[in-house]
Amino acid sequence: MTQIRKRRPLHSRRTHSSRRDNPKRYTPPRRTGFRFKWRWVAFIIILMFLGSYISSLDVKVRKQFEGKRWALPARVYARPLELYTGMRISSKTLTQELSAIGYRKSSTLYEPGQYQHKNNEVLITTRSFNFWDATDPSRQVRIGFAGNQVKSISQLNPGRKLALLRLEPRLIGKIFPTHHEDRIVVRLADMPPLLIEGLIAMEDRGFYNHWGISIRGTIRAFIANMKAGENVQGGSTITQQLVKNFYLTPERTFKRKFNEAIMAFLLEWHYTKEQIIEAYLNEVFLGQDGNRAIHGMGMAARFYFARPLKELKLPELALLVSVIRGASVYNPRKYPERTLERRNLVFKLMNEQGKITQATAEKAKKTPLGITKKGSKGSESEFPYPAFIGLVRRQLHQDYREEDLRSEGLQIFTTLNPYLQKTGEHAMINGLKKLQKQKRKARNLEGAMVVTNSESGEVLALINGKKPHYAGFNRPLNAVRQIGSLVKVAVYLAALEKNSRYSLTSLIDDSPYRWTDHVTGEVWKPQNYDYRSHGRVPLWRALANSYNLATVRLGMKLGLSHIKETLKRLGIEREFKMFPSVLLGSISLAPIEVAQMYQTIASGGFRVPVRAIRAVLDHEGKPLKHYGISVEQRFDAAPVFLLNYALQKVIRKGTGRKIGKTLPSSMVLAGKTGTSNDLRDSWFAGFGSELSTVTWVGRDDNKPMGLSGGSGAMFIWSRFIKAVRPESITPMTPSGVQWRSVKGSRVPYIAGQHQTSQALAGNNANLFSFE
Amino acid sequence: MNKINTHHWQKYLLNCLFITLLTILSVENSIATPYIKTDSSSAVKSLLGDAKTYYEAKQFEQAAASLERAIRIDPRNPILWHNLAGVRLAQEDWKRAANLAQKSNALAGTREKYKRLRIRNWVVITLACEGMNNFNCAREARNRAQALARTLKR
Repeated sequence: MTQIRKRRPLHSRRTHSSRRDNPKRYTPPRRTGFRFKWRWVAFIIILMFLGSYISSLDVKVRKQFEGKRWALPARVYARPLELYTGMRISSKTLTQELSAIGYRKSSTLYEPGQYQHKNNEVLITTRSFNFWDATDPSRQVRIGFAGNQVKSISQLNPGRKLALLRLEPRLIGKIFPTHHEDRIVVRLADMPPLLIEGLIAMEDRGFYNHWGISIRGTIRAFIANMKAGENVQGGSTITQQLVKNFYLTPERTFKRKFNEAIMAFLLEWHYTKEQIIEAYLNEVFLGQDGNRAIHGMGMAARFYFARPLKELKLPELALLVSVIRGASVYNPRKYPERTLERRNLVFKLMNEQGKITQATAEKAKKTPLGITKKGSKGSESEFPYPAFIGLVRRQLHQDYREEDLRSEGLQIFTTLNPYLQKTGEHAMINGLKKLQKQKRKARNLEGAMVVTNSESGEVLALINGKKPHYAGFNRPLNAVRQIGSLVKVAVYLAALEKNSRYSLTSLIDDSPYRWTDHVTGEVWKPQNYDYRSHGRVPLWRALANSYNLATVRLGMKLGLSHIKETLKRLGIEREFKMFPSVLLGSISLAPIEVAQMYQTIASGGFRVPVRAIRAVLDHEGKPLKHYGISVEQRFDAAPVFLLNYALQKVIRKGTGRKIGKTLPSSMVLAGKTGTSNDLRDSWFAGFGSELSTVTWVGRDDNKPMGLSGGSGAMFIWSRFIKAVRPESITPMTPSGVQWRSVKGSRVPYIAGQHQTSQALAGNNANLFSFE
Repeated sequence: MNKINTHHWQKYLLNCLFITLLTILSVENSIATPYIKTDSSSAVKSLLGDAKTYYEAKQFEQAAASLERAIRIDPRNPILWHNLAGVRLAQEDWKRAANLAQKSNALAGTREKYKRLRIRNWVVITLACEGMNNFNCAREARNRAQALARTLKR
């Protein structure tokens, strides 16, 4: 009240005086007010422009920060190793598997990723892992071995027996975004606190107190740089650095600097300090590996230490912080001393700011850098299975777009068994060398091998040529070659399905045969491999010895279209024209297609899709798709069982007997050799109760190389089988099959075979075919 | 409308018939779920337990994943394939269920100890055929189940 009273006289005095000075030319106070307002309008207009500019920046800031921040590469994993009592695995193989997933031998077991190997025991502290069906926690376990078998698995504190233990799967490949940024996004809660404290001590000590821009920080940096005589400290806050990396181009102009400040402010306005620091730690560039750019702490931990970020300790975390300033200047592999010096500066600053004690700092300074060699296991920089990844990509393309594979950070769980893959590669590389030494004509040999599980159809190994680790022509998928006698199984299976007419002991005519094409007048006169005809031979022997004449006569009797249909039922999806010569294998297929065909026989007549993927998860671990086992009965169990019997004879008595003799007699294995014209392609398809394998040997230029199926591909296969020693038990006799004694050996027959009445076994496959 | 109703009735009756048939058949095995105990290794046993828990919680994909893990360990165990068929049946994935039950039967062969399992598989196939409205195949599968059941009584 007193204030108003005091002012009033002053005001009235002024108006009075103006009236007194110019009583006639009365200028109302409004006029001066009007002039005054023009300035305001100009100011408002500028403010409006500025406002709309800022709000456009605001939209940009929020859109990118809240949307999909980064294009993340898809991560492809091998099958996880499942350990259970009774499993066949040596302790040595287990430790190899452990080191392949980045576990370290250690005298203690305090932390995940450590293991010990003592005589017949392996002690492990496992890492937790998020699988598609469950999250397996970190556990301390003891695995006892008896010879090459797991005897017991027990968990230590709390001590209890475990039925099975699943280890995390090995990362075997990535599908990169086009700009080749590699990154593992880590949430703030999973970041070690020391990393954050080191970062703040080093880059922006006032981070928690400023609004995105820090004048004090800029001045301090300026002084520090003047003192040091070089650029040791940056003036930008963490927020500004994030803005720079995240939104802006790297040029240094005033406009950019202005935008940076505004956007830093906006970022701070909208988001918490925690959100900003999380984005920063995941965004920051920390190294270059060929054309692959290492971004974020999660990836850098793998790249420099081959370990997950959460396992790193103070010295390692400080190193990551010191690389931030310049990944090429402070490249620890190239300039270890310079980087070490900067790392130690981190300890010093952390100590000064009270984050760590003097003693800790002194102790940390004495630790070596501890950087792993480039390309070491677990560092995620080299992936040795390009052929298999090719198959994974092909199968993924059925459900996902290329751009999603490259950017969504999908986690892809595959079926690859690295142990079988390695064994197969050895068999292939050394086997091809041996073959080239044995035969003078065999030069420039290449090969391919597809290994699947006989029942589930999962692709366990895919071997491409002599140099399986180099990406190049993917022979298992793309070497489309004549399959020769591998095709014959279709003819004999078709015959055995007609169980009222054919049995394994039915006599088949192997006399010379000629066929004239009615359209062109061409005459086709197939020959046996030994250029002889063998008269009337039992059906099983005609297949075991791969007689061409008998097969053509049998196939023509059954009808070409019927054989074509049988081939399709076996799983050939490719379109092809049917000629009599197809009965001897003039059809061309890739090894993977042959694998699909023989899979149907190996699994007892069920078509099982040959597949490389088990499940796909999004980058946060949410299951997107589970590729479950599906089967479809295409043939009755009985005729397939009979065919299997004849294919066992191939290895023991037929075209494969030479190599078959070198295999242990306890193994029940079936197979078929295949050779194309002029010995251009050497094939072998072999299977037992556990593994089904298709092997091809030949030359990339399709020239003859002097090897038949029994001398080339089967040789490689036998080396593989001897090394792996898969389980191979006698297939179970299906209902409706009886064993009869024929000339001293036991031969299976379908009940009612050779009788006119309809077979008792029933035709399940036809009646209950659910396609 | 009438047609649909009769279909429903047919289905309902069939289901009732089977459930009664099977309850009579299996005194020691509970029929409420398609799970039966197995005598194979402890790993398989534990996975079967997991699958059962998931199945009862109606988390069918997880149940299937557990069973597939078990199948990888013991691929020729017809019980595992049967249970997987049961899970697919619950998901109304008829074709898959029927095919998996066929696979289980093929692996069971003629072994006496799997006779009950084979009956169950034929029931799964019957229900799957009904689900697909394929009454011929349902009838045939039911006949097979009954034929097998008769041999069991003797």
